[in-house]
Amino acid sequence: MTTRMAIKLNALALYAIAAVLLAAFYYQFALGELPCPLCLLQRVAFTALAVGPVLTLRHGPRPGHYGLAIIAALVGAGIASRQILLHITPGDPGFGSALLGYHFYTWAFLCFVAAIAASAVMLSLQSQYEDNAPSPGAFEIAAVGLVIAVTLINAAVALAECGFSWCPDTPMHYELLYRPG
Amino acid sequence: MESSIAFLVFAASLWAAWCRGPQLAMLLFTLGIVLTVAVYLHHASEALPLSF
Repeated sequence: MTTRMAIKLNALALYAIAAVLLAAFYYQFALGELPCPLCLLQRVAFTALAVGPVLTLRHGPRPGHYGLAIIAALVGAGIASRQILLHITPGDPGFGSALLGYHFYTWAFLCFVAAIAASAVMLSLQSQYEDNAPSPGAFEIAAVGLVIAVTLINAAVALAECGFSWCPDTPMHYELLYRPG
Repeated sequence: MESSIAFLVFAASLWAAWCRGPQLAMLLFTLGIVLTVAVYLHHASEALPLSF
């Protein structure tokens, strides 16, 4: 594993994180499914997962960067597993729609476990730490810009949904846009 | 609003990771993780329908 290849793989990870968050936007806006507080926290964990790869793109591969990704993925997996357990009893329809038979919190759990495994594998490949990091190219800069933009949009959308108080457990409308009567 | 704050903290961490040093990014990352876990514990008050 060369340094250049490790950086490309980290950039691809950022595109994958952005794709997950954009897919969540599709279900929220196209299908009108408002995310619950635990769903929002899983999105937060996906943005946390991006910090390690961004550090790698800017400063080169370091074991600590993969450690950050593992911490973020553990938090995300913990949140997703609680939501799975909330709906695990027979007859429970689950929360939101399903994709290929699994609800999105189950997919999120699988994604976080995959991120832990991928980070552990990358962490153990010593040869990537030997060279100096090359200057980031357009592919890497676009990945960072995309993931920061999606994170900021998530902040704005969550504020519109929850307003200036604690987010309700089962959101029914966008608090900032809601006009009763 | 709690999720928005968490998103903003991690957006700041991402910005710091790119434009500033790793130390500031890691500090903001730690702050964000602590905030996320605190928000999770606030919302995870309902008993799970499980029996071990």
